[in-house]
Amino acid sequence: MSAELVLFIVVAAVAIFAAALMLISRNAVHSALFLVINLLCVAFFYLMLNAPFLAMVQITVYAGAIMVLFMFVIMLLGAEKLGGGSTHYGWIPTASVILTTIFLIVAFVVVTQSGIGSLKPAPQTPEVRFVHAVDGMPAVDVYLNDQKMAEHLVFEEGTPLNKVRTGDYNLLVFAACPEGESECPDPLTSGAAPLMAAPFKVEPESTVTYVLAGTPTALRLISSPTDLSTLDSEGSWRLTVVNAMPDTGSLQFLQLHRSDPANPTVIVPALAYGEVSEVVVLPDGTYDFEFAQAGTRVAVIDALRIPRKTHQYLILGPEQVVMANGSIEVRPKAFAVAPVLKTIESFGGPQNVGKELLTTYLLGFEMVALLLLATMVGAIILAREEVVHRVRKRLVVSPVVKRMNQSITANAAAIQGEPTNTPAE
Amino acid sequence: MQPPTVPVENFIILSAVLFIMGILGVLVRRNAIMIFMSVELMLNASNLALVAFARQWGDMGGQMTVFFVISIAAAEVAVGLALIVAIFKTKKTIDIDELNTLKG
Repeated sequence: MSAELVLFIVVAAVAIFAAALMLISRNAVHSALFLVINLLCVAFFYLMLNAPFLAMVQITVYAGAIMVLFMFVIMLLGAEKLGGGSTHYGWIPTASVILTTIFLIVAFVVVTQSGIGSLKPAPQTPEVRFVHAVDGMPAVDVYLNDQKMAEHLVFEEGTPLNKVRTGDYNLLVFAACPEGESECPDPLTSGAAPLMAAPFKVEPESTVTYVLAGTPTALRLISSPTDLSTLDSEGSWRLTVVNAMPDTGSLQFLQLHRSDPANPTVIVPALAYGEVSEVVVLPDGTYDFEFAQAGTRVAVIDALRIPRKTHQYLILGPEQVVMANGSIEVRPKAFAVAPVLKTIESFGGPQNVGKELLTTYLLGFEMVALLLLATMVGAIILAREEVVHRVRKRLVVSPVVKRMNQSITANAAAIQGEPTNTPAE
Repeated sequence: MQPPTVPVENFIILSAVLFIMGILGVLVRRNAIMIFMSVELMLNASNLALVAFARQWGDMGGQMTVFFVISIAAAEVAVGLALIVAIFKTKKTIDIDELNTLKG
């Protein structure tokens, strides 16, 4: 029996005991306090079930605000000891105990026999993403069958994640519409020659980043799994290093330290062309990285700052540099891919709840806000009606005003020569 | 997400037990405030079941429903208690056996 199960049983016993005491105690104040204990136990269960935000809402709203309201009304009415005396419905307690026992047995059988614990969540849709890492090649459009995955993808950039169905596809890479031209024929129907065509397989429940590498005439695709699951530590990020520089041997990937330049940390010991490193988790901070081959520096990234809770790709790719004499030289260049992929928020955390509230459940959220407004008005009216009556009865008019009114009516009577009668009489 | 350490059935059965205690409170007690508190107990039991299922399916839908239930319960308590106070002012009692004006 695990510690968590023991904890569950203890807290569940406290919750049931508190509920029972709430039901049988004669004093309403004691009942309210036992209900608070029960609500706190439920908040504890929310914590066990990955709902930390709801647990805090439960404690502040339920055990705090609502119970204060209850206590306030109990004290206001002096209703602690009400409810004694005889009743006309003496058969209700017996009948309700019998019926609820039957209900409990049925519920128990249903829950234990239905096997709800073995049900699995719905499988996640596979997602793919493409990164352009070939300099000297124009911007590209990427298609899976006739589905456009990337439009005008340029060097150093990647697409966001695209949801695709599991299955086999035909990958087609076309040169994108050149800058300045507004209309281009659809490459699929116009019969344009693709830059690359290859069979493509999407595995179930996978998230994969594909890096277009090689040279414009000989493209290849490097695949690398992307891990966007929640990180254990809030202030960290994931890193994958890809070598997309053709004709390089085995490279070392190092982290340089400003304070100690002589002793870099080796993050990836060996990475040949087309290889992808393991996913590395690094703490938040500013980093200097270096690709090195046999002790000589190949490429450097200085002062790289990556947002926390992301999965970042660092790619070593070829960059074409125009020399002074007009010739073009290809040099290795290390770059971080934009846009950065954010890892998913921890389940049930405040960020996750906030995101859900303002996207999927925005309508419900607004409706609840309206409902609370209507409730506020309703409660005020319910409480106010009595007050209005009382104020009207006791309406006190200042003596000065009374005297003024009398003098006005007296003057009017004197002018018209009629007896003074107030309209109210 | 890892499967829960405590099986979800335990939470559902606990939620059923708490719900039934709430029903008993509503049926047996005659003090209107006690009935109100038992209704809160029932709402909490159903919330617990929803959160347990949300954990099992890895779906935020259950938790969002609980969020809405909590906010609506707050509204319900505010209006309900205002009604109880109003009834107490006119009838001088909140024993529901005495509140039989609507009885034919």
